[in-house]
Amino acid sequence: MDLNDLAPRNGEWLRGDGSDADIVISSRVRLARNLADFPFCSRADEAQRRDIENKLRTSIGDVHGDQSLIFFDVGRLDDLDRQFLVERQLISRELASGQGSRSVAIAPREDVSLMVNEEDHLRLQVLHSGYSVRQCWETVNKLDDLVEERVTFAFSEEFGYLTACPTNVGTGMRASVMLHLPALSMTKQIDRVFRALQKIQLAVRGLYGEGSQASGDFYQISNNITLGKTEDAIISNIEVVVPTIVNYERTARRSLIKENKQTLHDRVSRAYGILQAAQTISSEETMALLSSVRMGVNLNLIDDVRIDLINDLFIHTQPAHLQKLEGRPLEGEDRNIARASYLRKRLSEIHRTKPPTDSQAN
Amino acid sequence: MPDFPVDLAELRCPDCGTTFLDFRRTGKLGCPYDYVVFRDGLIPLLDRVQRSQHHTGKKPLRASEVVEAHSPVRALRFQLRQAIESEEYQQAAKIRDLIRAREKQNGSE
Repeated sequence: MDLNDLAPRNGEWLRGDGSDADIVISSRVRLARNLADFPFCSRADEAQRRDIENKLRTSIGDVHGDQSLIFFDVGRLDDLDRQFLVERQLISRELASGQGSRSVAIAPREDVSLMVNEEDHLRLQVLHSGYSVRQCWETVNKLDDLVEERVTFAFSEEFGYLTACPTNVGTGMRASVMLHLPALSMTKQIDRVFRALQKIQLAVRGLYGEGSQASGDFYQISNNITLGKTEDAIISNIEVVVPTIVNYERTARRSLIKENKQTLHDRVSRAYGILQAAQTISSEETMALLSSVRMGVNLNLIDDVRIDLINDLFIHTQPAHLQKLEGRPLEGEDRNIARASYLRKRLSEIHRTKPPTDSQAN
Repeated sequence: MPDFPVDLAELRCPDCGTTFLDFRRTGKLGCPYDYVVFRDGLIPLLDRVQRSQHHTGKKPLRASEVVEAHSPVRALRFQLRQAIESEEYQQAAKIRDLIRAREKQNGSE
């Protein structure tokens, strides 16, 4: 498989199905593991990193059953390819920008990604579209069992799975759910929700994890605590919270419609209009406008565009994806021009088969 | 200023060479064995960050031997030997005190 073959598809995390898929974009569970007889990555020299890589590569090659994994030597990929994998949520920014031998094994469906020599020797990730965090845990748990049959992980009875950073020690598990919360953002209720989450030890991050902004009103909610709770308890904590937030978002959308339909409809329509007509547009503005349009489609305020197309555009207008789809490197203003042109093209295609309808009457 | 005893700051893992101070600077440990060597410094930190000191989740089918095979005192003895070999007598004295304190705490060893 070539990375270029992935570009036209939209990957697992934005496939757009699963329960509550209008609000819950995707679910993910990752486990951090280290080999017992090596130093952690930051202390390993290049020879040790290569040993770790070889050892893990032979151990994880066939853990995914008949769906064989595809390996990428991340150290040898160029910047564009690395950025591309980050945009698809298949590798972390840390792995992309790291040094020395490091790699990733990806399932063709893009629901499994195993990172080698990131902060820890092995990070197993399972990612599903929609709300299925428990299913992700079950899958990643099985993968972990299989790898464990072949290697010895660093573990202590007292502290559990030992990780390079003590914030991951114990279960080594980070379970997260990505939510699209435009109405809570718009009505400024989002900070209150986040404060409540922090009190129960859940973290909120933007689209691309730690330190990234909540662009496109996408928010990742994940457990802060990895020690002293079972994996099941961590998942349950998230399962309690997510339906509540989904309900808040739905309530916020309903009250926007009820109290301010004109304003909301205007905002959504203008966003749609700009995306169809702009001649140059940044990634950040695109995300913000697509977020409004996505909500507009889910609320039937826009009826001539399908949600999958909007999901597609979220990923295809990211810098590395755009360059892959255009087949040439694009910098700065050229990239913004190409993005605007790509958006106009994709959004005009929907009208070719079907005449534009007047957006629905109030 | 560091909020932990100087003895702890200078503690060095015999397996990977990381000191506790290195860890406090970078937030990253050097090897699995650091959890044994820096145990006393890690526990208050885990208490604060993780609100727990004990793992209760999944266990591997086989426990790793690297960590289980070492006891904190054994690790300190290893360091003591190294310190003496490199003629760092001040450091050696500190480690000896740590060993004594630990042995007292454990009853006998």
